Amino acid sequence: MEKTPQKYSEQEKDNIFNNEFMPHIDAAYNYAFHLTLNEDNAKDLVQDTYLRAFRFIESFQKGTNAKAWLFRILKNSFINNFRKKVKEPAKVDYQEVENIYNSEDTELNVTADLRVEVLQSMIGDEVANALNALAIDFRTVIILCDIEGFTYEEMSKILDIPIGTVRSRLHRARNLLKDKLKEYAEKMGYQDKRRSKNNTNVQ
Amino acid sequence: MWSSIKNLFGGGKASNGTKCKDPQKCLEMLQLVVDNEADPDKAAQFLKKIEGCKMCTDCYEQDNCIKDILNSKVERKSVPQDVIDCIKLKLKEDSN
Repeated sequence: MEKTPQKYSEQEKDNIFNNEFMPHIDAAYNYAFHLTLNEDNAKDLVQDTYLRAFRFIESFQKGTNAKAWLFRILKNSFINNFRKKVKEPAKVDYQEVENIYNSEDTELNVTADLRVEVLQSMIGDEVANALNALAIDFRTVIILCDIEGFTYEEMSKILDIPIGTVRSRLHRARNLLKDKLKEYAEKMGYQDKRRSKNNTNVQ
Repeated sequence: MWSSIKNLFGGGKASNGTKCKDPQKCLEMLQLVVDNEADPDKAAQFLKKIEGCKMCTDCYEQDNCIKDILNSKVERKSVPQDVIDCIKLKLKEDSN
């Protein structure tokens, strides 16, 4: 993502900042809020991101993907300055995840009975709570892909990870989100018919 | 990895009684199709191919639905005006 530094006049810097960076400030704030889960921290993070963006504006190539560039700064700023302060679900131990993923004993929670109608009947807060309950690295890939609409390649650049890792992390994140959504669905009175049936058969 | 995929796809057996011929490939392709990362022709071929597999079509519909509700139902926060004002003020101070 880093290119040869550009030489911009003060007027050009202002134009880039106002016309290419500022249109993404709501999305940046939304991302910051999902990372920090706190409005004050999100405000600080966005402010820090935009000030850094201006300071390093000469490493941005005019007309390229400003949103991805800003999100990368925001992610780095979060890791460097905010992550330690934020109360969050435990950091993901990828080795542990990999072990779980590969274990012969693993029973993945099959969510084929999480009906589309049930999902559609959920309110936004329930979906947001399920999302925010995920560990931050899993939450991040879902936000970038499903809420902000970044491609795998863009996510790979924002997060500094290979595309293959983006895909596997996204896959794992969605399975975890399905589990969370299923918990909400069960609270709403929905029952997993197949599991009930299987339990009956076992007995 | 293989056991995970087999579990996800009901032991490699679709719920209509037919076996999913290649659950690992289906799993990978499903994700690419849902995320619009697959070549459009290949995506169309794949969707045609899984029509007979209830497990694959259920997974596809479920993943699509989750993506849709995340996009449409999760509240998008707007940045408070005071943050914008503060950024502009600091940039102005720095330029002076």
